[in-house]
Amino acid sequence: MMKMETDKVIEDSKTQFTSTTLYDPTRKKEPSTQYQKEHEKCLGMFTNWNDDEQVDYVEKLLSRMCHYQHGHINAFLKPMLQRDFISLLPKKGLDHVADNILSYLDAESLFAAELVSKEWNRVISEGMLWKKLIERKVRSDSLWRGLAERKKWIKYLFVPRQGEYRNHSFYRQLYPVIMKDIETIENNWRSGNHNLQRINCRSENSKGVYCLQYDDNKIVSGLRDNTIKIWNRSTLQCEKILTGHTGSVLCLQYDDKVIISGSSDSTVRVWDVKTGEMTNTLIHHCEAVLHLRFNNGMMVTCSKDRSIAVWDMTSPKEITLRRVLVGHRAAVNVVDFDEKYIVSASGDRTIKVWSTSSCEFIRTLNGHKRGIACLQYRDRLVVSGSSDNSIRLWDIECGACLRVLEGHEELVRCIRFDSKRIVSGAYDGKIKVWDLVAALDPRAQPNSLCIKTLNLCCVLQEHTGRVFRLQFDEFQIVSSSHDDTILIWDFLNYSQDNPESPSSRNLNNSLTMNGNSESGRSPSRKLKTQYSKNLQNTNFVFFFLYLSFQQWNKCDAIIFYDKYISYDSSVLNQNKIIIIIDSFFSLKSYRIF
Amino acid sequence: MQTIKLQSSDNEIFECDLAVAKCSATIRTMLEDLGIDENSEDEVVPLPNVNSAILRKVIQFCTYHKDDPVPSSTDDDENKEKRTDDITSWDADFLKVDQGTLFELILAANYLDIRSLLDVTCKTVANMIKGKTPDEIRKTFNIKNDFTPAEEEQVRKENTWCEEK
Repeated sequence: MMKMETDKVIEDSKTQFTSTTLYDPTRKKEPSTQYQKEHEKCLGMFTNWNDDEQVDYVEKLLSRMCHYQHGHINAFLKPMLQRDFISLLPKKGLDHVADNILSYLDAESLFAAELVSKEWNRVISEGMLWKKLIERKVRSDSLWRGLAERKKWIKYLFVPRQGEYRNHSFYRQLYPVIMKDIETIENNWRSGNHNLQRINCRSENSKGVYCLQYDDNKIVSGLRDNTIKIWNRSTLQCEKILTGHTGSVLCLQYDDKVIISGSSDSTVRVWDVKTGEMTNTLIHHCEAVLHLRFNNGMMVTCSKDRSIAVWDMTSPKEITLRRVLVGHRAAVNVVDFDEKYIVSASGDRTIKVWSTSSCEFIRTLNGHKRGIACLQYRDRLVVSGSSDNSIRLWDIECGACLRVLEGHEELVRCIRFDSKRIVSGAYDGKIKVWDLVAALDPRAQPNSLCIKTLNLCCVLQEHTGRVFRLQFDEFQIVSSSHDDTILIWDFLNYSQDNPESPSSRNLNNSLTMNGNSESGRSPSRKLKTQYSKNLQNTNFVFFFLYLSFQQWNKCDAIIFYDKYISYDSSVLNQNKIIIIIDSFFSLKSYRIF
Repeated sequence: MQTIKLQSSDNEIFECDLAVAKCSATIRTMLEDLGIDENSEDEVVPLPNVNSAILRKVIQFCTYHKDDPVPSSTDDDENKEKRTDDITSWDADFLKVDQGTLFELILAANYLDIRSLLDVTCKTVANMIKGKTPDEIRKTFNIKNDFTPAEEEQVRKENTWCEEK
């Protein structure tokens, strides 16, 4: 068992008084012979008294002294009371306690702590405190978690597998790399910098993608052509087509077991997410099922028939109707719920709040001037999008409208929010990204709202049709639209601000991707942006593009343009091109072999 | 109310509630595993690593916190966000002591294995470090800067990202 520190003065700190002391020993006069004779005797007596007596005596002494003496005493007393915790604890074998203290520090403070002294630096290094800091961030922050997985440094964290151990300085240097990545992602969101991947659903007759949900491996989409298509995230190829609905698939949700979809054929169907097999059909609504949500053994569906149905889900095959909620005077376009409230929005311009446990009506949120198309509800916040082109933020508890966001030029069809952003998609073919935190700040003046909105959002224009549905996370937006496409807006892998010239391999990849998806009409945005970036970086750019004949065939156009030049190479139909650009603003020549 | 006698390093005897003493996992283990009979009135638990001044503080802390819910397991704790702004006002007042006392409280909390006291004292020290420049930290704890200017520059340079913000 260790001996605990009980001494009154820590020896180590004795030598360190000088740095802060006001007490100047050089001013001390030579002590008198009388003092030299007597003080030993006093000390001897003093030592024989007990603690309380000693304190009492010193107090009496102090009261007989004057202020400047008190100042002197304070100067040597104060350091006696100070402790260099981080250096002293390891000396007592308590490195883990020093680590524990330092593990409460944020990055900036940890950086300052490293500079305090060599011993502090050593404790931080040996305690692997940068690794611990990164691990804590990864545990508590979904952005960090996602980044760790996507950037593959998660393998160095927690208990790495054999061969993946790294020393302290690795983690110390990793931290700024992560911060830079996060900054870049934030910046990409703010500026709308993204890499775009496109899936063309190539529906036969009726085109349009009404709904979707994605994860790291797949995108599940509901189409106007009555099918559900499952796409592989890495190849962007269609892996499964689920057929059964006799009308457009308007809404869907999946978890690790089932996909549940709602259709204009008025039915709700349940599918096995792994096999794609249809396992159940719920016939209840008498018109199109416009939206559905399920969670934790409960499902809520809503319909054009103006009603909302609440279901109990015992298993995928045992889904029973619990209650029907009526009250809306027009089609119920969207529902959302948690354990407290069910929230519904309708073409009747209202949002209605219902109790989840009792299914009783609680209140109506009034404000939208036209029908409401979309809504999300989480914690206390409801965000809705309407045919009046506006987005409204509501406090569900009191029913107050907290903010109106204006900027879309047509019906706001889909809306999602997380802790940072609201992303909305509209019939004007645009997706807007809004700063949720700023939107919730009541200090933002109503008359500055419009300017604020412009500052908050960046407008992404890529969809040529109405945006029907979107989902997003820290790194991407996945959207679907009337023009039969699914777009993946990747804010993580936007590499264009790399000052190095893009390699021809990268260019080739981006074109290959486009070629595979056979989205003939649209030029590769990546190629376009790389090109314009190059113009800014160097006056002489030599593009050497080797494209295989097959790849080339699949792209019927490549458009090079930026704000200065525009050039359409749609006439090209060769297996190799070289484009030479030798000035900042102009495309001087190109040649085709 | 069952009581227990605790003896400090300077031989002072403290009689306190058994429930209070059991805030200390070390005392709990002594009682449960080492066969010290809870019922024998005259039994004294010696705590040779804690002096009376600190033991008095520790008993005060444990008396106030004896009815607190048992903290979750270590695994859960790992997942918790490391906050330092959640110190209750009673604890903050209790810890308005000089650094020497705080240091000894940390040692006592560690020796007696009183998790809540160790956490709150560590947080208090962390709060004394947080948001300060290296020089302010040195002043706070009376630490001599033993880096040469070149060494300091080297550490600083490796961290330039931090100052960009």
